[in-house]
Amino acid sequence: MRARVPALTVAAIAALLTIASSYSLLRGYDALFGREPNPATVIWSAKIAMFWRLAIGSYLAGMIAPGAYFLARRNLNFAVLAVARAAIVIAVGLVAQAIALP
Amino acid sequence: MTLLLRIAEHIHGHLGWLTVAALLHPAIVLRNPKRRARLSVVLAAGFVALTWALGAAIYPEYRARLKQHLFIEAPRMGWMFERKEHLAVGVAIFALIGTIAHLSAPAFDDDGTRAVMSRLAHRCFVIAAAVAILVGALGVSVAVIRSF
Repeated sequence: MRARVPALTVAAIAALLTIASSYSLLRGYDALFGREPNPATVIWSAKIAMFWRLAIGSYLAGMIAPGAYFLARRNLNFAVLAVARAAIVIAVGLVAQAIALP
Repeated sequence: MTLLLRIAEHIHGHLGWLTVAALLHPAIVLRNPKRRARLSVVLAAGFVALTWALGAAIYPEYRARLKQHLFIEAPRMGWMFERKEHLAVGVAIFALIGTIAHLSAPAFDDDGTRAVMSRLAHRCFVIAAAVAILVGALGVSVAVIRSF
């Protein structure tokens, strides 16, 4: 089991990064191209967009995680460097989206 | 019901600032990649999870009772709250990544890879702490304008 921990770690981090990146991409797309009503005119809606985006991100993360796991099993150094670099890019993207496209 | 929401909102706000403090600790001590700080990391992640869970629990009531009024009375603050939501997602995810990276780093046999994981943990906690400060400041500024 201990031998699998590094690959499982990379898979978990890749899954979490997928949730973060898909969240900000979905919100960015909605803000730029979506035709959402003015929040001041909406009394109530059943769809909670934030939870919806997180659910879609979790679904995508479930698809990415096995790929990241097998990549880490084949080439751990490459996979670790990839997630470490991706984390910084995704963090910058998420903050930029939150500020510019709320 | 309103009283309960008000209490939950206040607890959420105070927990939020405690979370900032809890996140700052690993962000500082993990500068040294050889430093192990499991308790600090787990506590920080626990605070983030607790604050996030409480925020998520009262979020549907915020949408039902406050969001429209906030956007009518102070639209800029409404958009600030939207920013807070997105940034809070980032805090939760990067705190979790930092926790996973720090706790699993000893399982990496290669020194170079272990060092990358340790640096990743530190960077994630720095990101989470910095963004959490923004989230806290935005939360307070919105709560001053409109509350349950």
